[in-house]
Parts: sequence; C-alpha cells; structure tokens
Amino acid sequence: MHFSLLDWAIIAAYVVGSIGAGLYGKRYISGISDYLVAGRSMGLFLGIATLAATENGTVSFMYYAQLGYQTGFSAFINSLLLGVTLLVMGQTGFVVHKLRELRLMTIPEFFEKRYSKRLRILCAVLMATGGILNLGIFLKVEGTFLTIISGLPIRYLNVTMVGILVLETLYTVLGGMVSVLITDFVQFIFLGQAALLITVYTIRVTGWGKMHDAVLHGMGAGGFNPIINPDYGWAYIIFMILSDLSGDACWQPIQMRGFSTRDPKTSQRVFYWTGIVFLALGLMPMQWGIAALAKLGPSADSLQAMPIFLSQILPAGVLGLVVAGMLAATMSVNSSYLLSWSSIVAQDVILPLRKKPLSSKGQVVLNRTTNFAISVFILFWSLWFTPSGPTYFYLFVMATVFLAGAFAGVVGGLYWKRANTLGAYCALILGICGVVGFFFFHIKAGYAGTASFVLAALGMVLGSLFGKRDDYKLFQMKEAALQAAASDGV
Amino acid sequence: MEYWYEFWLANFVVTSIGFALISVVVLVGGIKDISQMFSALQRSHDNKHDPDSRDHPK
Repeated sequence: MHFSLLDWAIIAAYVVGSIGAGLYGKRYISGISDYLVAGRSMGLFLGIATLAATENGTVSFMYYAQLGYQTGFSAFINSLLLGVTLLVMGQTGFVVHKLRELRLMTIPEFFEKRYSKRLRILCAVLMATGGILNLGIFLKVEGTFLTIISGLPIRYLNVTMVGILVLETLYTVLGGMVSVLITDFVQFIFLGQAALLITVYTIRVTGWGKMHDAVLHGMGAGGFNPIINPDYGWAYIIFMILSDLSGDACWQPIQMRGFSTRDPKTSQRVFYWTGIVFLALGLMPMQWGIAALAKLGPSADSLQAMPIFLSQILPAGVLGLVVAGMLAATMSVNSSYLLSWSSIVAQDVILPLRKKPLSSKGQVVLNRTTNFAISVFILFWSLWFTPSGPTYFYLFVMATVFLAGAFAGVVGGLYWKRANTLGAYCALILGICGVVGFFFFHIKAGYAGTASFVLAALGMVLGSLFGKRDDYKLFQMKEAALQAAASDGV
Repeated sequence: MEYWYEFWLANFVVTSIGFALISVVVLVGGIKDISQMFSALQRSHDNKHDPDSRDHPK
C-alpha cells in the first residue's frame, strides 16, 4: 500500500467537501432549464473551469500518458491540434456563437429546429449509443489508475469502480448542471494543482535529457516527428483536425457548457481560453508517460506504466493531493457525461416519442431517471468490456459513430441555405461507414476516420442538392435566434 | 529531429506557465461567477418562470 494516513485523510476531505458542494446545488433546481443548463447563467471563469474539468479526466490522463509512453514527443501533436481548434473556434465563433443564439439544451434539438423531428430522434439514438459506449470504458481505466497509484490490491478494482460511480451519480441525479458546475469548479482547482505537482516531480526525478534519450533509443526520429511516426502521419493529422472540430462543435458535454453561458459572446470566450488549458492538460500527462518510459523502460504495460511510475516517486502527502486531483478529474468527467447522455435520451428520444407533453418538473424527474439508469448500465459495461489497442483510438473512433454525420448536419444547417433533411439523413448514415471500416476491416484509425467525415460531407451535399428545400425551417430558425437574442438582452 | 524536440519543449514550457496563470485567474473569477449564478437562479426561482417549459416538442 503506497498510501499513508495523511493521504487517506486528504482524499476523505476532498470527497466529503466535493459531494457536499454538489448536493448544495439541488436547492436551485426549479425547472428543466436549471437542471440541464443551469438557467443559462454561467460566467466566463466558471465556464473555463467546467469545460476543462469535463474533458480532462483520469481517462484522458491515462490515455495521453499511454500515447507519450508509446510514441514519445510525437504524441504532443494530439494536444496541439485540440488546443488550436478550440482557440480558432473561440476566436471566430464558428458554430459556437450560432448554437448558443438558439437557446438549445441538446445538439439533437438543433436537428429538429433545422430539419425534422424524426432526424432529431435518429441523431439522438446515434449520439447516445456512441456516447454511452464511450463512457462505458471510463470506469475500468479510472479504477485501474486509482488502485495502482494508491497501492490497493487489484482485487479491489471493482469496489473502487462502484464507489466512484455511486458518489458522482448522487449529486448529478439530484442537482443536475448546477451541481455539476460547482463540483467541476472545485475539481478543476484540484486537478490543476495535481497536474502541475506531478509535472514538477516527474521532471525533477527524470530530467529532460533522460526523456530525450529514452525516446531516441526506443523510437528514433519517429519519436519526435509525428509526420514520419507510423502511428500518426498526415492522414491521422487530418482526421484529428476534423475530429477535434466536430467534437468541439457537436459533442454534447462540450456544447452543453456553451448552452449554459449567459450569452453567445461568453460562449466564444470560454472556448478560446479553454484552448490553452486543453493544450496544457494534454501535454503534461504525455510528458509523464515519456518520463515513465525513461524510468521503467519500454517493456511495461503501456496503460499502467504512468500510475506505477508515479506511485514510486511521489512522497506521502503529495500522493494524497495528486490522487485527490485525479479523483476530482474522474468525477468531473463522469458526472458531466452522465448528465449529457441522459439528457439526450430523455429530451431527444423519450419526450419526442410521447404523445402528451411533460411539464418542466416532470422533465426533471425523467432526466433524473435516465441518469440513474445509464449509471447502472455503465457499471455493468465497464466490468464486462475491455478495448484492444490504444484506448485513445477506441474512444475517438466510437465518438466518430455520430460526430462525422452530426458535424456535417450542424455546419450545413447553420451556414448553407440549401442544406435540407435528406442531406442530413445521408450525412448521419454515411458518417458511420468509417467506423465500420475500423472495426470490421481493421482500416487504420486515420484513414477510417477521415473517410467518415468525407462521406458525411458528400452525403450532406448530394442529399441536399437532390432533396426538397427547407426554406421555411431556415426562416423559423432565424426567427428563433432573434427572439433568443432579445431574451439574452443582446 | 532536434528542431522538433526544441519545438515541443518550447510548447510545453509556454503552455504550462500559461496554464498556471489561468488557473489562478479562474480560481478568483470563478468564485464570483458561482455567486452570480446562484443569484440569477434564485431570482428565476422567485419569479417561478422557466422559459424552457414549453420547449418539449408536441
């Protein structure tokens, strides 16, 4: 066991404080917009904290470190592309500004405003399936990290997973987005300091020289140059740019932050500044993976190397702070994702299929129920399924199930008058093809993923050109945006 | 190859420092944002108005 009493005390204090803060948010829930988008009252700094906390968890730290361990400094390209795309979207307002103008609560909701109700349901089914299966492997990866670094015997992995899930489900079900924002803020502070602490320690213990030499001896020039690295190359880089753009635009957990801001301009600023945070929170764990390579050598388990390395070098007290930070990272991601996917199942699948409308309070109850049901599913999926190959590739390809088609649908719908329902259907269906290629024909992630986006775009263009025009829907959407601007006081 | 290494190293250092500064600013600003969010939600609760209560499509 690596943990001292001090470490356990720090963890306990963090968990109690965090859960308490989360449960406090329940008192502010009086309707569905409070529950899903915090009444659209989120400011810039809270927005940066929650967006950063939502998309940077123990899973991302583990897979970034795995990439660093396996591909050296070339792995940094992943983070650079992600950070830059967010900066560009924030600076230009691409998609972000217009989506916030519409006062949405979910991405599929856009598909009904612009196209049709049936398309909303199809989009929601694809999103929820891809998103929940994506979330489904988080618990095992997170549990692996926490048991290794704390020194708990691996037989306690399942208990750890259940414990994490119960805690985050509790405040997410009860307090919705308000609770999630409060806990994300606390968690951002913890995970930020943990990340900086780990970085300082790993550099002190290993040194840049040893990291450089380990990568050079293990991987040669490919460990520094992502263009010649066999796991990356130009096809992969293009896929990642498309994937990052589409993820920033259509990934429900990310856009839900945009939907929760006070106004469209705040949304843009949140995206812009969080780009730098994403860049840092990607580069740092990759550097830890490289440090683990330098210390442990190339024959360790690539996913477990980083937590094993950290458990060896971090002193008591610091270890507790770091694990509290990683626990914070875990809970912030899981709670946000639970809320996101359950909101899609409730708002975009169940509600549109109901004959009778549901009151605002009724919608809150429905969302709480779907949230709980998905938690239970996640637990069993996590226990049963383990992906082969780098976790990072699995997660991105699963997300591409809907992202490729959804991106074409959203961008086409916002910026092209000619976009119509048939085009959006074709985009969603053809966007799945690349995933089929990845899983069943073992086509490399870069080629399969890029093919998905190209096919989705082709589907949108050809379907729109051959289908009926949707001018009235476009007019309705613009009217809705004007009314929303009046509501926001813009 | 060494140019790539130096590029990544520079990226890492600049970004880490930027992140540390942003974290401090977010800590201070975020507390105020939470307070304002609570006030806005409380006002909305007192007015008993949910602008999204009719958002469910029929």
